[in-house]
Amino acid sequence: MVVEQQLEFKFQTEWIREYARAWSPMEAGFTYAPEVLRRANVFIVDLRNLLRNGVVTYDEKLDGPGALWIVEGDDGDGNLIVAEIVVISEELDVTVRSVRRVVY
Amino acid sequence: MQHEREAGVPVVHKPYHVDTLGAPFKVILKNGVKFGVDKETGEETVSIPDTIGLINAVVRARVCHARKLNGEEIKFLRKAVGVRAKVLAEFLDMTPEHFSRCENGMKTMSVQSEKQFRISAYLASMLETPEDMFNRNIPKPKLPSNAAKKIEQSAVDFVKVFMSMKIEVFFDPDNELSFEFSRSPGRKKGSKPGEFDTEDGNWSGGCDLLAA
Repeated sequence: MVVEQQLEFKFQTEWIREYARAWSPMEAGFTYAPEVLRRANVFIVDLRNLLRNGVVTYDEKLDGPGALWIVEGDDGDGNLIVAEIVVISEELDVTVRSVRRVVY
Repeated sequence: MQHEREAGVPVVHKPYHVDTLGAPFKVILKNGVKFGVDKETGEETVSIPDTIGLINAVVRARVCHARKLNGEEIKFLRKAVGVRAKVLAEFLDMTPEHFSRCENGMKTMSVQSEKQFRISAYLASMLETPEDMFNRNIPKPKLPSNAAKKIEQSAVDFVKVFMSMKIEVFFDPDNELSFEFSRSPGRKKGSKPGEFDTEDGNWSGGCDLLAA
């Protein structure tokens, strides 16, 4: 199933990994509600690792600009995180809608 | 203060303390941050440009500061450059168990290992794939012969800064570490990708090693 999802959202996965890898100075936007991160006990460095190594498992075009993606992956320490993000790819803009740690 | 909280209406917070970055010390942004309100939840939102650049600038600022790294800081720096604990332990010639104890504050990292970690974290923060810095299987890049000499001297100077650093083991615990960053102007409007102003948009502050 995971392999199928990886294939289905290959473009999105590559896009978000490239976004999180970007190292040259640029005006890429990253928006989040601090309270959302605090409630989930997730930090920005965790999210960066998630976006850099994670996999997009859901994509829904929104009525307005952008699309809602769900990204699953780990925080750089092997702890799973799932994040809902809104991506406006033309503007290199990512907004974190929700995030949660997955505990088995 | 504002009278109404509406979407897109900026809230004045200047400078902004980014307590959600994950750093176990204060990171203050003097400019560049935009504030708003989430339409659905009414919660305050924060928009930070070039967040990756900010994370890298924070890494460089901390490793340039002489105060001994504590376990939380080692963990933060490692995660900020995106390297697994096991890989870093091997790079530093430590057992994963010992490295884990260093991160948990049960053991102290030796001064030599800490200096090696600082140098590599600094360099990693400037790479497109920072984890490559810690991968022993990646061969050394080949440099043109005329460039090699200049780079060699810069590298010697760079390493000297860290190797001659006197790590501050004793310090006032009430004196909280704090780093301030500000953002210079970004890309010119209408410029093509890859074209930047002479003052590239980047986060600066905390460490002027490159400017020296």
